[in-house]
Amino acid sequence: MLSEKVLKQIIVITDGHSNQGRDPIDAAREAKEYGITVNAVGVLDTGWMGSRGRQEVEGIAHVGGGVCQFTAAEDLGQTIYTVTTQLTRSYSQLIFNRQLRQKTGAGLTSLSPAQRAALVPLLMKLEEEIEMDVVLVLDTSGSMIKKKLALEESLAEMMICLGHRMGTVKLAIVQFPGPAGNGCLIKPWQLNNARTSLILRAVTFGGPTPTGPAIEAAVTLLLPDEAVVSRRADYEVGTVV
Amino acid sequence: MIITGRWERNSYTVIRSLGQGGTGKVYLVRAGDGSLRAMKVSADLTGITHEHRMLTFLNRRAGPNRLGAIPRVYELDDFQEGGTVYHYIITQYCPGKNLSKYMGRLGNGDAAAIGLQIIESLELLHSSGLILGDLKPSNVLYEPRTKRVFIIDYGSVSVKGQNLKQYTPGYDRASWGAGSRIADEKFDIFALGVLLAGLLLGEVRRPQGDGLAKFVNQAATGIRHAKLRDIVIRALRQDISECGEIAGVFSDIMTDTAGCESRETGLFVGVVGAASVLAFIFSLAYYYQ
Repeated sequence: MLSEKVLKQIIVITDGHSNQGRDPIDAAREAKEYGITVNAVGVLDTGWMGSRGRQEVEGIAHVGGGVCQFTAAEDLGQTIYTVTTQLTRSYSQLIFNRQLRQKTGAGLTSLSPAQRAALVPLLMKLEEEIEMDVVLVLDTSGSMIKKKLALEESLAEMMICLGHRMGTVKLAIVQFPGPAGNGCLIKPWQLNNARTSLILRAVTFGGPTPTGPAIEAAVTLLLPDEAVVSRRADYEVGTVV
Repeated sequence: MIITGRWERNSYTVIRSLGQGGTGKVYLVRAGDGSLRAMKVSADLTGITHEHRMLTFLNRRAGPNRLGAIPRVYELDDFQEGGTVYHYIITQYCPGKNLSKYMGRLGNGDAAAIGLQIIESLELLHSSGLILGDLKPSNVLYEPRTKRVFIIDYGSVSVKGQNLKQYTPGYDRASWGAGSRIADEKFDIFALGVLLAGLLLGEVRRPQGDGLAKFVNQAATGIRHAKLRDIVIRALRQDISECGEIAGVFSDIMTDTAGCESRETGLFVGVVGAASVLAFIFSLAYYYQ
C-alpha cells in the first residue's frame, strides 16, 4: 500500500530545556498517538549539555518512539541524516514484517539467516523508496545564535543527502520561539529544496524556548486536514498573539 | 558468558570486548573447537545481514588465500536476550589496533604497506561493482609487528551508483565540497587519500570553507616522500579512477624503502667485515713477528 510508505516524523533540535508552554514530553506522547515519530537531537555546546536539557531530549525521543542523539553543531547534518536512515530502516522492516505475516503467518526473525539474506536487497530498496514527511522543530532561542553558521551548513548538507533518495521527502521547518516570542513561526513545506539554509539565514535568533508548543505546531502540519481542523484553529489563535 | 546460536547451534564463549562500531559491538570469542574468533553483535537485522552478505560475497570472490585485508567470514546467527533478538556475524579474529592510534606516527614504508593492502581490497570490491563507502582509520586494524591490515566494517558497502548511507565527514568528499555521495571508485580512493595524509602528517581535522585546497597544500608541503605525496594529492584531486593505477606505486615504495634499509645493513656488514679481516691480518702479523 502506497500510503504505508509515508513516514511522518518530527525531529526536535535543541541545545537546552523548554521554559515556556506545554511540557514537550507530553506533546511528543500525543504526536506518537497520531502515528508520528518524534526524534530529538541535543546540540552540544563545546561537548556539554545541561542534565535537565539532556533528560528532556531523551524523554521526547523515548515517548515519541524515535531516535535520540547528541551531537556538535558541525555534525548536525550527518546526525539528522543518520536519524532518518535509522528510521527508514526500522520502518521498512515494520512494513515488510507486516506483509510477510499476512502472507506466511511468520515474521522476518522466524526466517533462517540465509532466507533473510535473500530478502535484504528488497528491504534496502524499500528503505530508499519510503516517502518522508519531515518537520524539523528548530530551537532558535538565544543560546543557539553562535551555532547558526554550523546549522546552515548542516541543513544544506542534510538536504543534499535526502535529495538523493528515491522516495520523495517533504520538509518543513518549525522555528521556536517565533518573532512574537511566544508560539512558532512555520516555514512551509520545502520539496527537496537545497535553499533551506538560505531560509535559515533570514531567521532571527533569541527569546525563550517553547519546545512543547513547537511540537504541537509540527503535529498540525503532519496530520491530514480533517483530523486537525479544531487543533489548527487553536494553534493559530496561539500564534497570532 | 556463552552464546549459542539459534540456527546453527554453535556455542561461543565471550572473552572480552574488542570495540564498538556504528552498528554494533564486537567481542573476542572462543569457538567450540578452541579457536579465537571475532563476533559482531547488532539488533539491526537489515544492516548486519547486508554486511554478512557482502563479506560472504567477497570471501567467495577472493578465495581463501587472496583475502588480504578482508576478514574471513564464518556465520550469521541469532540469539535472544531480554526479549530482544540480536544478530551476530562470526569472522576471523583480526589482531591489531585501530589505525587512528598510528596517525602521524608511521614511516613511509609502513604507510605504503598499509596503502597497498587497502588498495588491493578496494580493487577486489571495485572489480565486483561495489564501493566500500566508509573507509576511515577507525574501520582499519593494524598490527605493527606483522604490518598486517584488516578492514573491519562492511555495513556501508554499496553498489556503484547508489546513494551512500553511511559516511564520516572527514573522509567523505561531499563534506569537503568535492563531489557527491553517489557511490563510485573515486569516493573510496579520495577517502584513502585523506587516510594516507593523516598517517603521514597526523590526524585530519574536519573541513571548513575552502578546506580541500588548504588540505592539498598541506599535503604538498608536508609529505616528504615524492611518490607518496603524488598519490595523496592525486587521490584528493580525484585524478585516480582505478585502484590498479597506484597499487604498483605502493609496491615500488615498499621495495625502495626496503632496499634502502638493506643497503644500510649491507654497508654495516661490509664495514664490520673489513674491520675484522684487518684485525685478523694484524693479529697474524703480530703472531708471526
